[in-house]
Amino acid sequence: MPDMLGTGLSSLRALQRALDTTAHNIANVSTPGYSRQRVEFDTRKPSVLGGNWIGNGVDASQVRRVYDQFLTAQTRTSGGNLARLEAFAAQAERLDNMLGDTTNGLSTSLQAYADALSEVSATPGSIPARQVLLSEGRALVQRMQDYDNRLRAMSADIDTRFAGESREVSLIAQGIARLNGEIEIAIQNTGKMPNDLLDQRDRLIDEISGKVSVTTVTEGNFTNVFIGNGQPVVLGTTASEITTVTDPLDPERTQFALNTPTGTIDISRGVSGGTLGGLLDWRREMLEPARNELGRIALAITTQVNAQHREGMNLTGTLGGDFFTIGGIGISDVVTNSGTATVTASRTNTGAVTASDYVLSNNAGVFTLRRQDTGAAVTFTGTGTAIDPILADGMSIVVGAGSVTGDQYIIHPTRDAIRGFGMAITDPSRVAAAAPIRGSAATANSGSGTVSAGEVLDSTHVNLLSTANIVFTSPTQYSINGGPAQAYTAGGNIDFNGWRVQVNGTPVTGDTFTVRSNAGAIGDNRNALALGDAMRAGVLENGTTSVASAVERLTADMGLQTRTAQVNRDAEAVVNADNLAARDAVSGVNLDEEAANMLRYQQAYQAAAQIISIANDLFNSLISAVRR
Amino acid sequence: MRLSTAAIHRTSIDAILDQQTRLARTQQQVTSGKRFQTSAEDPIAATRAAMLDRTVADNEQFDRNSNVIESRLSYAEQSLADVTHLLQSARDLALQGANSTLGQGERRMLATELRQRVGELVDIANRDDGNGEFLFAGTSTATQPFARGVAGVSYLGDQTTRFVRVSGSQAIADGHPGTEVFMNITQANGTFRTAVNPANLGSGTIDVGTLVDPTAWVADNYTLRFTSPTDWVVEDDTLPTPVQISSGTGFVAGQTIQFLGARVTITGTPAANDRFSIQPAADTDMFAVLDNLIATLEGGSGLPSDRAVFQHQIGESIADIDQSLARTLSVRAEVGSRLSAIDHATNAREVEAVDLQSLLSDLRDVDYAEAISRLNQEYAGLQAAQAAYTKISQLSLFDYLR
Repeated sequence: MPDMLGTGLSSLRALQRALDTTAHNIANVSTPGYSRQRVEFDTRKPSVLGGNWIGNGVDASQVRRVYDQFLTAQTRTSGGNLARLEAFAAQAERLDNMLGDTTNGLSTSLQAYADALSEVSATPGSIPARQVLLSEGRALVQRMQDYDNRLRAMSADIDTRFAGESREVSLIAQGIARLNGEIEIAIQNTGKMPNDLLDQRDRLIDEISGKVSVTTVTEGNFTNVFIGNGQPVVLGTTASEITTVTDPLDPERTQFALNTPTGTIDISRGVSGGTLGGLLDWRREMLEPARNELGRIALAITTQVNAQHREGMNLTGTLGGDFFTIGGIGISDVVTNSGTATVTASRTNTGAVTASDYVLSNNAGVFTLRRQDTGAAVTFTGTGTAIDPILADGMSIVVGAGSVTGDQYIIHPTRDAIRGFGMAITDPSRVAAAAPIRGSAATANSGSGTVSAGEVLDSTHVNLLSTANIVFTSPTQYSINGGPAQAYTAGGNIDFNGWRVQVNGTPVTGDTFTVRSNAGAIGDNRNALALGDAMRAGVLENGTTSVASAVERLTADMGLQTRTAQVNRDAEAVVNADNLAARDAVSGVNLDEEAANMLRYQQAYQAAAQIISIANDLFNSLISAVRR
Repeated sequence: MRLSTAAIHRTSIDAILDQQTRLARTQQQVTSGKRFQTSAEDPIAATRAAMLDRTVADNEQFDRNSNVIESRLSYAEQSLADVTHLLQSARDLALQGANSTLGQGERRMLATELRQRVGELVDIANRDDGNGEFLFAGTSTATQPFARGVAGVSYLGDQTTRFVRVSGSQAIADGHPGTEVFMNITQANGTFRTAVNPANLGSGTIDVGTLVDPTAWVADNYTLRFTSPTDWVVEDDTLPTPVQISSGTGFVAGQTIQFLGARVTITGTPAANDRFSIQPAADTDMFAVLDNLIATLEGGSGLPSDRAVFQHQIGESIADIDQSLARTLSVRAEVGSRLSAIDHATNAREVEAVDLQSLLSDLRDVDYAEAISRLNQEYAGLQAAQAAYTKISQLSLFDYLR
């Protein structure tokens, strides 16, 4: 008689495992990263009985997780991409909300300033109009500074997030290393796969991929995790710590380093992908360009307005001077510099100044200059001494004594401009709405000659405001202040003392035209008009872009980049959802399926129990037969 | 494909969240009336709208500028109308004064009235635009432009004209410096002025003359001299030795004498050696014109030769007043053309404003009919998604395990 009882018992045991596994599946229906498990049934080795192979029942040979490595890797990649794009888009939206506000943006402040200026040109004698101009100028300054502060705060915010996220990455790495060890021990002890530990490890790798892009290599029962170009984050059972350090090239921002048991590795170039990569991309592609561009706009406004304002005359009868103040060029020493040189830089030509940052390096006493954004070398003249400064892209750079080979200096031509952006005048009577000189014809003139009101060629000329008489010594010749006779051409330019006038018509001998200081002409608006034109004129991009268009372009750029980021994010979200669905199709728990399995196993279990009962009956029959 | 329970729930929830996001956006569009809130939602349209906004704001400023200079020009126009009126009344007084039946006392009364008029003229010239800015001071708008001194009324303003922008391409002058209105008026007939030599013995007098041939005229000093009561010569006095230009005989009173394109009329009876000068006209100003007329009316003794000088001076004063009137009229015409240029610019702006508003509205404003129908659609979609989810989530095989 074959071992019916043994077969029944094997069935009961195997089905018990199956029901346990089904219960485990149901319990983990909502556990992220959980792969459903299946019990593998194997028939036991049969015995020969009476020349026939009789089966010996069933074994639950192993519990296997239903898992597809390819689908898991795909989901991990798209998950990392999605995290990067989500981080980028979320930050981009913040920036866009600030700069892209179509009703209260920078354009509005700029327009208010332009309107106030126009008002002054219509009523130059009105102190209230001048006061409004100063207020709008101040509002513009404040708006720019407000933006700059908020961008700065965003930058600081990013640094804080970097610190937090890198701590989290380190913790996850420790978790992976610990699981590597546990998995190794479990496999060594049982020879079977610890499915739940493997799921947990996969899930931690998913999580780290969401923070930063990593590569994994399986080595035996370990999964090793690398960042960038193969810098180890997890090697077997040891994990490295990721920390943030001050960027050696720019003390205002942080970078990443890896503390391995063998020392600290700079991984700043290796960090990409995931949330960290998204934030880094955003800082590089949007935040820093926005800050530099805002600085460049402030610089352009200041240069344009000041140049014209200096050529005007205020209500006190003196030349206008500056209207706005502006911050200088920012220079940061690279942390690793061993020299002691102080580098100073100033702007020589605002139109040529770019929004890019530069790196100035000392190669055995010879300087090289590169753009930081493109890495391209910049040609320049000069050697960097005070009498022969380095001249490049509208900047003049002087390197003080004590610079040694290998020293590097980072130059920010526009980034710090806004920090020093302010109003140079606060008194409305100091607004130079008038031109500083005026031409007039003597009342006694008998010819028909007229003189233009005049324009300023050189506002720094010492004699600009001195009275000068243009006296006609004959109908074809004139002399200025008794100087040499000059030939008269109707409408021709007469330049003197830094001003230019034109005489038209037919003057006769003795006719006198006087050019003098315009003090007292409080109704003159010539310089106010010129100030308005200066704001409309092209000044950026070598004179092709006006300030207003630059602001609009900045807003549009930010909007477009944000839009692109949103579209990319949404597209990646679809890809990730598809990948998740594909992975879940294989590994996910379906409760209906488990219910069906439960019914199936339950029925089989009941049948197996029946086998035992029948075996018992059979045994009893035999016993009673023998007893009789 | 096999579906996991978690995936079924996730897909349904994702669909509901997605519907909610879209519904919220449509709701925001409907409540704000704007198609987009930040430039990211439609970067191209947002940038174009910002540019159009700039034009709209510029135009609003141009409107304010136009109002300011329109009011200034209207003030100037009123002042010029007053000047015209005043000059006409002065001309009437001059004509009255020319009446030979008037006695010295009556002429002095006319002079007194004229003195009043000059005072008024100075007041008009010193008017402000209602904001305390002098109308005729050029750009020295805080300086009272005209003041009476020992040598008549002098101009203290400047000769700068202020231009104010009324459109992107057009700047309009908002006034005339006083020099262009009251000063630099060419005397007499505008080319030459005549004079009666006070030493003349005869009663001959000369009119202001006219220029009949501008091409023949040479601007020199000439003397018309009677060699006898009927013979005359015209000599050019510019050179030390007079050069004879023209001569004639058989003069009768009221005869026209023409030389080098200039034509003068001598009335009365000149005596031998009586002289009349013809010189290039110089510049004067409106105040001096009236001052001269007053001096003429107050002077004069009634002697025949004095009578001749008087008659000539009254005639010249009337000619000077006519020159002043012509100047005032031409300035008024200019002010009028500026006012109409402002009107044109304003009309152009109004037309443009309609265009801009409709463009902006196309770019930025939400199409309510479309948005509300979309809102309804999305609302129904969300409802359906929610209903589907509750239905599907109720399905479970476990419910049948009893």
